[in-house]
Amino acid sequence: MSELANSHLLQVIDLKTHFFVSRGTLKAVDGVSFYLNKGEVLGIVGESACGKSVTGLSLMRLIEPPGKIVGGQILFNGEDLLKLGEKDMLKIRGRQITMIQQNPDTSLNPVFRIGNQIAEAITTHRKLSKEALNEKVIELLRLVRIPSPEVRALDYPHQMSGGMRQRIAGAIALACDANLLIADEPTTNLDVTTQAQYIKLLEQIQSETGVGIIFITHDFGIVSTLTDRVAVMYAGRIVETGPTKDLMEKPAHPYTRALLDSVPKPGSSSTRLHSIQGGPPNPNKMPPGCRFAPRCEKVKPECLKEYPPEVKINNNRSASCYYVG
Amino acid sequence: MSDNTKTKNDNVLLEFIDVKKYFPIRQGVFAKTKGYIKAVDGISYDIRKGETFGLVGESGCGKSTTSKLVLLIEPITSGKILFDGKDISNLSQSERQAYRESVQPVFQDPTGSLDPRCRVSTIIAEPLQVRKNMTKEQIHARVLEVLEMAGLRSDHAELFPHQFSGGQRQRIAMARALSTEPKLIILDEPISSLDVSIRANMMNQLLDLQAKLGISYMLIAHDLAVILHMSTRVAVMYVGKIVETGDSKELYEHTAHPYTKALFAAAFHSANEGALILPGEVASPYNPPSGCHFHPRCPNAMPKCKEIEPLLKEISPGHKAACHLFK
Repeated sequence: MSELANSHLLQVIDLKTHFFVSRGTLKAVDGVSFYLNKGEVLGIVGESACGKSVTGLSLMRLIEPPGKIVGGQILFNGEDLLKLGEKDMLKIRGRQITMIQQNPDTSLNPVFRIGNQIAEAITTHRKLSKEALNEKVIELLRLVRIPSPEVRALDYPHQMSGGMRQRIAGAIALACDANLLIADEPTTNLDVTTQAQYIKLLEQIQSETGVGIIFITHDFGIVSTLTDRVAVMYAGRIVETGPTKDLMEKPAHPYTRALLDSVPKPGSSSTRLHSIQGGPPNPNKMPPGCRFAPRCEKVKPECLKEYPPEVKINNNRSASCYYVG
Repeated sequence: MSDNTKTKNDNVLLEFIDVKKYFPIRQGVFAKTKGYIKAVDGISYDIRKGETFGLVGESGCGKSTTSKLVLLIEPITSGKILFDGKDISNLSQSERQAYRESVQPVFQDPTGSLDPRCRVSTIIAEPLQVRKNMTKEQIHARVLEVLEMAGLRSDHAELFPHQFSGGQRQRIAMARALSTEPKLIILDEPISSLDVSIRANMMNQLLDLQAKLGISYMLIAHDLAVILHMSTRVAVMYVGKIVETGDSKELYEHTAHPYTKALFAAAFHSANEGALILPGEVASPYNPPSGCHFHPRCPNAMPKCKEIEPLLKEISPGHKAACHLFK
């Protein structure tokens, strides 16, 4: 166990985050396990309401009532974050584990200059002289490729474009040389050409700083260029995981395959796309067996009875499906 | 030449002739006009009967303004839009009503475009209420018919929009658009608010409906992959102008304009190192760069791109590009 924890930067074991609302218990994240090595980029792919964002927030321990992390372990550098007190967690959150949210407008304060906002992220965790602080802010702006950083540090968020604001959010996330960066759909609000730019930037930052990244997205295309490994989530669980290229070329789980097939391919001559019937299940009323079974083309009787166990396909790939075994 | 235009015109449903839409920027006590936002700056193209015409571009390129011009939501600043050969900006009242029935929209956000307090049957029947010659029974029968066409069930008619999922709501919007038997449906980002697994279903359904009813689509989207999949012909827009247009197959195989190439790289996430990643961001239509609007971001920019605006020129039959790289 301790040996495992040493090789991984982060190991999540059977994480469960539920929301207790008047309608019942919403099992947003229901037994999720994955790991991230140092300096690795992991993609978490899934549709809306599959629990990918709640997974990200759980890692930061930012789940608010009526939500609660009800079970599992989050081992970060071998230490279980769920056993830490709030005071100790404050030292990790924003310093060692940081986050970029989808919408930069809600993560930046409109009435403060962006230089000050980056400085605030630094001074929360360490004491620096004024000169050193200024220097660090400029260095961070340079890291996220903001032109003429000395001038732009005095700008307010509204003076920057959407892509630049999202880069500022990135600079704040990296202010304390974090080990783990959780990026929750950071490019969804950006224009397509700006999106490509931002992905490239994340790649460059990753190789310059060696930060581990968990990239949460609904878009397999983004995952293909940026990530080393992928975990596909459906209805609160990871259904398949493996190295990105391998997984995208030979998807094992019917859901992964259906997702990949439903996107138009360049230059393909067929006019009809492969489509998945129905919609994701209500997290209030999960089907008893495999959660994808009601929409699955290859459904067997046992799929409807019990949730399929995780099957190892090879050394680093696995999927939860009876069909794989 | 004249013979050629005639046969072409027979097939044309909607024609844009040098259409411009400028929004004035007013400032000060007397609201003096300080300048213009050139949202659509001289575009010409035609949409043929039964085809899907794709309009692709990033935010601020004028693609949604174009749809508002066609839907008569905004008046045109200059130029002409012809529908079945008639100028849509000076129609009589009865002609205008008939025009509105034959051109219907489906918007991006189905939650925002459906009245939460109306039952689905009321929502779909609304465009038909203005027709004086339809009885209640006829309207109801038509509602059930279009519900089925859009892939919903007849018992859905008495429910409210909040009882549906996002994909189903978009189908309700589609059913409403179909109710008046339109010739042209404006699809403004019809699938971008939907979940990935539902998108394919919606795209298939749209193509099926077109094959069955022979309607034309004007499809507006930012995702080139979706546009190429759905459309017969495509126009790529950048800051109010068309930079490249042609058959979608030709455009895919022989991409000409550097901006289209960059859109390709972004849409299909070409993983190779040579993939084109543009510097900077989309120019503002308020103060666009001189010459070719794209030149500050263009990897092939030449000195003359800064000064002379390239015109849309035919580079192969039916394929046009506005770029100095092509003579």
